[in-house]
Amino acid sequence: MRESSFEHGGVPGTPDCERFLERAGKDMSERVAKRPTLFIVPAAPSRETVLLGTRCSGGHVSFPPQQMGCEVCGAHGEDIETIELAASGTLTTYAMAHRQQRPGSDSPLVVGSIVLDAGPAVEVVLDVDDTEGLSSGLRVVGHLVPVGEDESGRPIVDCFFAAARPSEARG
Amino acid sequence: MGKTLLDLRPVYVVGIGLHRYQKVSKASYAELGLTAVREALGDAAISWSSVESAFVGNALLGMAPGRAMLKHLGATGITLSQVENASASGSTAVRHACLDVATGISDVSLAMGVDKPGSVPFSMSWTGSERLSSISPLLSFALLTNDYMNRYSASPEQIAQVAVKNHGNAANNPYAQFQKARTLDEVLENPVAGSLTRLQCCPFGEGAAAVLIASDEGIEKLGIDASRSVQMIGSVSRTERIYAPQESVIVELTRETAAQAFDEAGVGPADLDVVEVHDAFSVEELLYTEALGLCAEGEGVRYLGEGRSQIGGDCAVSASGGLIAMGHPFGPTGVGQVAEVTRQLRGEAGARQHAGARLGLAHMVGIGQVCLVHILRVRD
Repeated sequence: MRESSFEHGGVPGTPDCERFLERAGKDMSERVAKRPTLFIVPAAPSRETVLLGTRCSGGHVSFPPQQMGCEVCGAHGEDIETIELAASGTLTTYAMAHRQQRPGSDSPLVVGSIVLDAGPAVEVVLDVDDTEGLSSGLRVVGHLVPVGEDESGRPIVDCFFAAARPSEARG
Repeated sequence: MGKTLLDLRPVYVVGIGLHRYQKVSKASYAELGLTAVREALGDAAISWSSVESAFVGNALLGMAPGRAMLKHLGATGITLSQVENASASGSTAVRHACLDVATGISDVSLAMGVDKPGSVPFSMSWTGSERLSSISPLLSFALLTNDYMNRYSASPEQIAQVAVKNHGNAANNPYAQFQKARTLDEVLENPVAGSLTRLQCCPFGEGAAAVLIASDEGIEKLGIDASRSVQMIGSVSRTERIYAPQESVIVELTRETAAQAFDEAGVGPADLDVVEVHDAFSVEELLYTEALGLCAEGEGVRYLGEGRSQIGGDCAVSASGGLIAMGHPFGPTGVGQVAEVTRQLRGEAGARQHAGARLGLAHMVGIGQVCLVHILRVRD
C-alpha cells in the first residue's frame, strides 16, 4: 500500500483527483480506464496496476474508494483519505459462469473472490479461459485488459485479475 | 437495549392467506394482493373493517402500490405504511405489524407482501460508488458454493440434495411456483454458474402473501378462534457489521440475528420443529442450518444427508419448498414464510405436515446486508 501522490481530498470526482488521473492516464497508448474512479492507467504499460481505495484516520482501509464515510467508524471529511492500493491479493474462491462471456472477449466469464493485500475482500473478473490452474490461496494480480474503444478510437481497458507471475507472487 | 417483543403484550398470527407464487402473468399486482388478503380475512373469519393498520411490503413495484390495492377492500380509513427492505420487505412488514399490536396501538394489523418483477431502479447504484465488476447475485452465490465445497470437502451432488428435498416439499404445496418433485439427476442438469444448476436457484415470479396479527383483546373482541392462533415470541431485525474478509456477511449476520432472537424468545435451536430459511440458492440452506445452530459449522451436508432437515426429521427445513421451489417473489416471501410456519404449528399443512410442530422460525436476508428472524410457537 502506498500513499497517493495527490493531496488529501483527492477523491474520485474531485478536481484534485481529476488532475491526478489526467497525469496518470496519459500513457503512451492513450489507454482509457473503463472505471476511472477505481483504478489508474499507469503512464507506462509495464507499470503495475494500481487500485484506488480509502483509509480513515483510524486506519481502516476500504475498497472501492468513497468519501461518504468510513463503514467501520463513520469518519468522513478530513478524517478520510484516498490512497493507492496494490492490485494484488489472494484468491479465496472462483466460479465459471456457464452462460456468460467475459466482457470484450469470446472466453467464458470466470469470477473470483479475492482478499487484497491491503485488506478488503472483492469479487473480480479473472483473466483466464477456464478454471484450470485456479485454487484457493493462489496469488493473483490485476492487469489492464482492452475491452473496447472509445469514440476517438482509444483503447478502453478494464481491470481483470490473473495468477501472479513468479516475480509478482510476493505477499 | 430497550424492550423485546415478549416484554410487550402478546401478539398472535390469527389469519394467513396467499396467492400462489407463479411465473409472471397478466394479472395485476392488486389482483394478486387482494386474493391473499381476502384469504387471510376468511381464515381469521373477520371483516376488513376490523383491521386497524396495514404494512405492505414490496420491492419491485415503485411508489405507493398499497393504497391503490387495499382501497378495493373498502375505504375504512385504515393506517397504511409501505415497507421496502429488498428481499426482506415482507419480513419487515410482519415485524412492524407485530410491534404495532404489541405496543397496543392496534388490536389487529395486516402484514402483507405483493410483487411483480418490474423496472424499479436499484438505488445502490446511485450511491456514487463504482464496482470493479458487475457480478450478479447468481455469480456471488456460485462463489459461495465453491467456497463451501472447498472448506468442508462437500461435493456438488451433496449440495444439490437441498434442491431435491425442497422441490419434493413444494410438490405438496398448492401455493408453490414449482410443484414437481425432482431427482438428483434432474437437479444436476442445466448448469448456470460454478456447480449451481437452474433447479438450485430460486425462480423469478410474482405472488402475494398476507398474515393478520392480533392481540388477546382483538381475538376476544372479534370472536377469533384462539385455538388456531400462533404466538409470535421473537422478532429481530439486524444489519451487517464488519467481519473478517474471508467470512460471508450473510452467514455471520444470520448467526448474530438468530442468536439475538433465541435470546429474546428464551428458546434455542434444539427446540425448533420447523424452519423456513432464505434458501434462494441451495448452498444457503446448508450455511443457514449451521448459522442457526441446528448443526455445527461444516456439518450442514451431513445434517441434510441424514434426513434430519426433512419433514419428519429433527427439524423440517423449508417444508414449504423454500425460496428454491416455492419461489421468491420478493415482497411476499417473508410473509409467506410466516404463513407456512403458522400452518405447520396449527397442524394444517396436510401432506407436508411436520408432525407435532410446536416451535418454528422464519429467516430472511435482504440485499445481503439485512436479516430478519421471527420465532413462533403454539399458543400456551
